[in-house]
Amino acid sequence: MPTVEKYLKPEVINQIKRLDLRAQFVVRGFLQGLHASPFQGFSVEFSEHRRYAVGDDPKDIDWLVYAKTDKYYVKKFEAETNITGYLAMDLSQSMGYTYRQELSKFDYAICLAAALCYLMIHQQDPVGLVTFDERMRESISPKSKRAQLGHVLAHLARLKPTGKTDIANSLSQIAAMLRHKSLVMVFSDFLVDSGPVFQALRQLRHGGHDVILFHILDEAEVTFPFNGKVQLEEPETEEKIEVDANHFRQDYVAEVESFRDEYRRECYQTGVDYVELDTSMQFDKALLEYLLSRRARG
Amino acid sequence: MTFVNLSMTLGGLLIGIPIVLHLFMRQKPKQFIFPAIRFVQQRQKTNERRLQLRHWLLLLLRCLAVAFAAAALSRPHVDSTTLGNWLIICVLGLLFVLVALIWVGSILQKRDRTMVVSTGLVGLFLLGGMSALVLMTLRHGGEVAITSRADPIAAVLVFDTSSRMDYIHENKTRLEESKTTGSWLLNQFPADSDIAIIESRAGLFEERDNTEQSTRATAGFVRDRGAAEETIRRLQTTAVGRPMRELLQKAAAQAAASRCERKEIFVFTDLTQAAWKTDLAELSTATLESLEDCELYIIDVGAEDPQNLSIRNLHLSAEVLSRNDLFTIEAEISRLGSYENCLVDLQLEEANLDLPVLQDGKLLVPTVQRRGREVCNFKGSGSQQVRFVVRGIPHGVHHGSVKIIGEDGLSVDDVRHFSIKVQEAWPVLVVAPNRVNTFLLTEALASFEERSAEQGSFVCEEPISQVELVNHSLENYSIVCLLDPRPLTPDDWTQLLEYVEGGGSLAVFLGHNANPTGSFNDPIAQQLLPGKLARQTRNIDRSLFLAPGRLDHPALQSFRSLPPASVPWSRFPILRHWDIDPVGEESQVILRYGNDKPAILSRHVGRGQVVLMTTPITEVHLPPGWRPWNELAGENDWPRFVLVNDLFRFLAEQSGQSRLNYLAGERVWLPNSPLEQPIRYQLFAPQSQPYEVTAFSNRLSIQSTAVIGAYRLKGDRDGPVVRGFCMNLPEDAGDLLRTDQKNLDDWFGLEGYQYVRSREEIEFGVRESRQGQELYPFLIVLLALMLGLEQTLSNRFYKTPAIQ
Repeated sequence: MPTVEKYLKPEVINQIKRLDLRAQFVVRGFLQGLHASPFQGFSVEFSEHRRYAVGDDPKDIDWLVYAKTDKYYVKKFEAETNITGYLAMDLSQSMGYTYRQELSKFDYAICLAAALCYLMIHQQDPVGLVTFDERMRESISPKSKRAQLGHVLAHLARLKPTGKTDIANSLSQIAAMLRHKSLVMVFSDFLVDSGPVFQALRQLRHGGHDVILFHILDEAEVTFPFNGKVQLEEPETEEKIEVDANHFRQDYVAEVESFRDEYRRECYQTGVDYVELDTSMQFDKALLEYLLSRRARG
Repeated sequence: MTFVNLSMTLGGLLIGIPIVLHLFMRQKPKQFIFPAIRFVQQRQKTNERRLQLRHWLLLLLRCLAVAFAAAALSRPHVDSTTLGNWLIICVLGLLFVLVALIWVGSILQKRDRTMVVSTGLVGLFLLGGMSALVLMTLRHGGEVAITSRADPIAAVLVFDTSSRMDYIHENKTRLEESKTTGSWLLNQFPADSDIAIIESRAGLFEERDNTEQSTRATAGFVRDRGAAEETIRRLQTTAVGRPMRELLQKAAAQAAASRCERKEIFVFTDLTQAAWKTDLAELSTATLESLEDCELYIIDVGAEDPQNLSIRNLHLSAEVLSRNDLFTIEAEISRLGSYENCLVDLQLEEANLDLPVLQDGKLLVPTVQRRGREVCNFKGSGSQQVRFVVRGIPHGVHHGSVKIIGEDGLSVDDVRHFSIKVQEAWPVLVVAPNRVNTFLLTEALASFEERSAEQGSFVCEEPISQVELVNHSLENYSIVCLLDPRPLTPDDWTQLLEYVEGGGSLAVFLGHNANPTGSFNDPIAQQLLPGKLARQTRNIDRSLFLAPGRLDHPALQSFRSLPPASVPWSRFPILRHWDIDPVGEESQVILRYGNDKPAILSRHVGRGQVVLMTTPITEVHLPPGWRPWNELAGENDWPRFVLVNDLFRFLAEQSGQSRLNYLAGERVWLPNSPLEQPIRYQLFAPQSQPYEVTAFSNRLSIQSTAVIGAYRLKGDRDGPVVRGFCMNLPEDAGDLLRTDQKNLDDWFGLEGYQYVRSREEIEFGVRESRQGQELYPFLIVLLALMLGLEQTLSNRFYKTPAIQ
């Protein structure tokens, strides 16, 4: 039974070459998962979800969200607030890596960013774009017009992951650039020292911005699927190391988990939303996280 | 430690394969681009160290597996005594591997330092203990001999060929069983082994000195198995078996003379008490040391539950007797097993001067007559006495036998031979001073009725006075009796000394006339008499009597069969007697008085015998003024009568007569008077052709007496002269009672010998001691353990974790 939900799968969305269509299909697939009809209440009526409170009509409870989050949310059908969103894309070379997935980390991030852009524009929220590697490279000012969507998507489609990265510095520059309270959505693999990144995040939060970290890793970087003796080369530094993959997998997975734990803990302490993703996961997790954050601001 | 396939130990070099693979043949890594290398860097060092430990551990297990495989294929054997040590070493080794695993595991799992250090220390302790034990074991028991089972050995096969080995069990005599096993054993020896066969039969060199025996022993090895087998085939039982101690000494000397590294002694025995007498404890130190260098196998071919009847011993009333004597013969019948009773026959040959004779190659001997048959009823006891009494045996030499009727396992001990000589009545010469009453003595020896009927055992000629003695020839008398003698002249003593040394018997009854005593204590007289005359002891209160204690002297034979209380010695007081002080060393007291002073003494002089009584025997009708010295002669004086007859019978049997009944193997000396007897005889020995023997120095010497039975001598001097004697087995020859194996343990030590019964046990024992305990099974188990452990750990170490 083919439905648009299939477009939540990276391997499916990879077959669609146009980014705008990708974004459209992802969002539709996501929304179809939330509603009985993909277009019911979409755009005009549906605004956001908020936490169920005493006095709310129980029939407004979104049971699908409950099923996914184990929390009661009710749908709001009118946009009550507008939020300015920035899509911050990491252009480091490591983002272009994939071992055996259809989408690289960068492709995955672009697709996700496009979907979010699509979603925000349709909610009449202004959305802008910032790219960075060792420093902030380009930026598109946030607008909520329909044309913004095409503009952002076209820009996203041109981006290439090259060079080294300095996330902390880039985020600091973004923080300095933003004049109003915004929602900053960072798409990166964060394969850098975590301390400066946390410092930059705290700086963003200090500026009153909401931050969602989409921590995107390749599926191979999470599961370490290699066998036997392997020599691994870091693409940015060209550093090489030999390990026995079979005997190292457990340690590696533990190390990745430890790294994520660190981010999870720090983000929790600083009030940053942290979304762990790998390139084998569906996009709905990221979109849902956005919606929850959107509601919180509302 | 020995190896069957020593070359296979070179397989141990294959240990190099896993080492080379580990060190040089490492897998080439696959290359990948991987941005998240920072996660790898964090734990790479720890992981690398862990992997190296695992690799080294697996390498160790693989090397051990190769080593154990090579060791198992080389089939090592260790001395059984050190097997326990080797097993302990294996256990320690396994514990060490186990502790090493725990140690590695604790490092890999990052346990606390106490755990790592403690397991490491325990591992080092185990390794040290194991190494020390290996060194100690190698130093103590096991120089590593680079030998194989095919190396020649020195094998000494000792066969007990005593008569007991004729015992039939399962239709085979024990000697046949020994020979069969021995022949089989010969084929088990490696080629070119030195083989010696030793048997119980005494050889010609037995009487030579030890040095010569040793020389003979070194020359006794053969390498030709056929010759050894033929020697075994010709083995026969012998009545003259050497004791086991001597056989073992000879075997040890024989083995020690071999240059072979390995020496083995196989003793085929029925393990009876008779064979393994306690004289084995007298084994010389040199023999015991030699035996320690040898592997000693006691091969028990005896029956575990023997059934046998045997005649242990014959007791003849006399070997030489007068025609009118009663001849009694007592046989001790012994049983082993469940026999309730048996029949025993007494058989006696008739005297025939024409026989034996060899006719048409066949030996004709006098006719045998059965002279008695008795039923021996054991009544629950192990042995019973059977007694035969024969009267009126005619003059001449008679051979006879006592025989158990029927068959049992061992037949050689069912018959005992005996020889007796019957002659006319013993001639007795009584010498007495005038006025000494001789009538009582002559009447006691031969009464008037006996003389009339010519039925007496003694013939007493007219007594002569003491002064006539020097001119009287004594040759024709069996006994000369001095009755209450006066001091004798030196010539008289010299004459009597020559007479006794020539085989005559002298009876002296001291009394009133022996004063002064100087003549009796003269050196010439003291060569004859049992002691010096000291003084007279008087007893006026009539309280001194003859007081026989032990009655084991043959001169008191008749009293032995009487209840002690039935002899009324107290009715015959002794009033005076001579004291003999000191009693000569060669003398023996036959009877004492109540005051413990000797009453009757005897002394063996030359080939004759002297009996001295310290009080007169005929104290009646004394001359006026003489007071009696005793009241032995009186009414109902039957004890005196019996005592006189016993003493004279004892003297008669001793007078110039040689033994006629011997044990097999004893050298026989028979007196031969050239005046009366022929010098040359033809000897008809059992199981042998007749051959001539010649008398030298008035005696016949016969040495070849190994076969039991009657030996007949036939000569000619004014007509045929027939003599003879017989040979018997030793008393315990048929004693099949088995000895306790604990005795062997005492003699040789628990580790000093191996007790085996069957061929399988021999094979096992020989293999175990020749090659030691084989370690192959243990090594295979260890190899399996190593492989299993390696496989388990490999699976565990190289298990691909599930990709989440």
